[in-house]
Amino acid sequence: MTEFSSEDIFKSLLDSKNINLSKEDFDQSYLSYKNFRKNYKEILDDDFNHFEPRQRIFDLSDEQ
Amino acid sequence: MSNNPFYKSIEEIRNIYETKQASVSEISNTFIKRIKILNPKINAYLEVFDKESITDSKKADEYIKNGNQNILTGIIIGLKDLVDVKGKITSAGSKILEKNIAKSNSKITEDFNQQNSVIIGKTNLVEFAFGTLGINTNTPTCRNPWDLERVPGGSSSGSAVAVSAGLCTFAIGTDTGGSVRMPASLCGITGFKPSYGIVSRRGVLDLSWSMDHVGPMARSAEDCLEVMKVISGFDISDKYSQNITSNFSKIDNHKREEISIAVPKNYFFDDIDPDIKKTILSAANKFDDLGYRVEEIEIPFVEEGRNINVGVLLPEAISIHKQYLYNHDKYTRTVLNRLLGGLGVTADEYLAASRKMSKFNFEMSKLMKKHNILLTPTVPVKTPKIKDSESPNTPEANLMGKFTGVFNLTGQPSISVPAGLSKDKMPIGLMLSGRMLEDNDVLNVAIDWQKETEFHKLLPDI
Repeated sequence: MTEFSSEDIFKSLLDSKNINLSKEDFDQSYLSYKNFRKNYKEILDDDFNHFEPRQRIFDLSDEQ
Repeated sequence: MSNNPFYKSIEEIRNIYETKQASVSEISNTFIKRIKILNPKINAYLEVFDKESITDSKKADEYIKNGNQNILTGIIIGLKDLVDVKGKITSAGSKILEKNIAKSNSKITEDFNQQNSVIIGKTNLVEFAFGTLGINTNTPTCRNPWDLERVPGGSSSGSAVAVSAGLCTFAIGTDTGGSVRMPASLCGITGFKPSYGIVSRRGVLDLSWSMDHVGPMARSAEDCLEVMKVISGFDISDKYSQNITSNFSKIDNHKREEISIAVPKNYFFDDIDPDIKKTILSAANKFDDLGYRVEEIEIPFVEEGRNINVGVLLPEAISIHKQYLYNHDKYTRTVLNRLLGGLGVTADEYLAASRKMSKFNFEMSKLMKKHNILLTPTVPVKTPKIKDSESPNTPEANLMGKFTGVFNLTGQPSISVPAGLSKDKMPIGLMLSGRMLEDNDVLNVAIDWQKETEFHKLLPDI
């Protein structure tokens, strides 16, 4: 099976939205994309499944 | 204090009207004249409502004459150009929305109209409020009044510059990762991000529905409190509005010894500019001297906050911008490059970031049971020069929101107040962040700080 590089995946995401970028813009956007993928890798490396999404207020009466 | 109205507080302006020293029409005309002289230099405003401000001022004068003066009657306001005013363009600093005429008023515009305030114009901003430095190549370059070669900070750049240069009494900004507090810090003014959901966002363009906040930017925390009295409250037409009653009042017998102020030793002081570090630690000592319970703490989990903030924000921004991306040629390169970084996020990833946000907020809530206030710098870096800030990935652009974004994630109330000047005479901001929904306490600690210091009275030489 063909292995796609991260750059290929980013190119295909741009193609799917008909976005054509200059070389310089592509490099800058790809840098943002790579940083963001790294960010998600770090986020996913944790256990948080017992939390509801986007909660801000908690009952802490039982907490020390 | 001089007799001009440009740097007077809301209370002082109210007093001018009450004692008939000047009318609203006279005051607003004086502001318009100053805007005409200074705005071409600093580009705080994108549009000035000269004609409407004459009509609004006459109406306000009539109300005052009839004894109907309210908290913000006749007060001169700048609105970030992300906020709808019926019949006026809301451009968001974008070429895509340059002809976007608002069909109705935002909730806060309605609030100001009910008060018979004078909305004097729309302020400059980063395109779609998506940037930290205040640079937008679509609009005339917004400049920091303290040094015209330096950035004002963003994204509410024009609002901060307008207040700093005395071109309105207060302005409204929006804050998704620090966009009220960062420019407030860089321009030497006070900027308040309220708790999530206590100021309606109806009629304010979204960047990220989970992180967006609307807040006041003013010369002082006391003025921010006056504005909060008017703009806070439940709005059934805003699905993110919280159905709770917030009380905003100045506390006369402020009991310093009962207030615990925590100074985090990690993260907020790691690798920051030495001038900023020295100034903020000196502020912490001052709070200690004033009788507050100041304590150094560690917040081990806080390092993850920025990643989670961006992890939720960017896919939401992409979702909102889906309707505009076909027009991608019209975006500024900086914002487009940043935005496209969020392409291809899966539902699993967004959900993971959203759940991790709750875990982070739970940890922060537990910590805040022990403390009333977290005391930190607002930003970690010096104010960069405009000429060095045009690339989307400069170190300053990436680091500027490192501290502020944490409190968009948690939704805690957070204020930036002036705390001194750097060696190169640029303002340094101190950030005070409180418990969720305890906005009044944060504002009153900031008011107390400004009662004991003079930093918020320093003015740029413009």
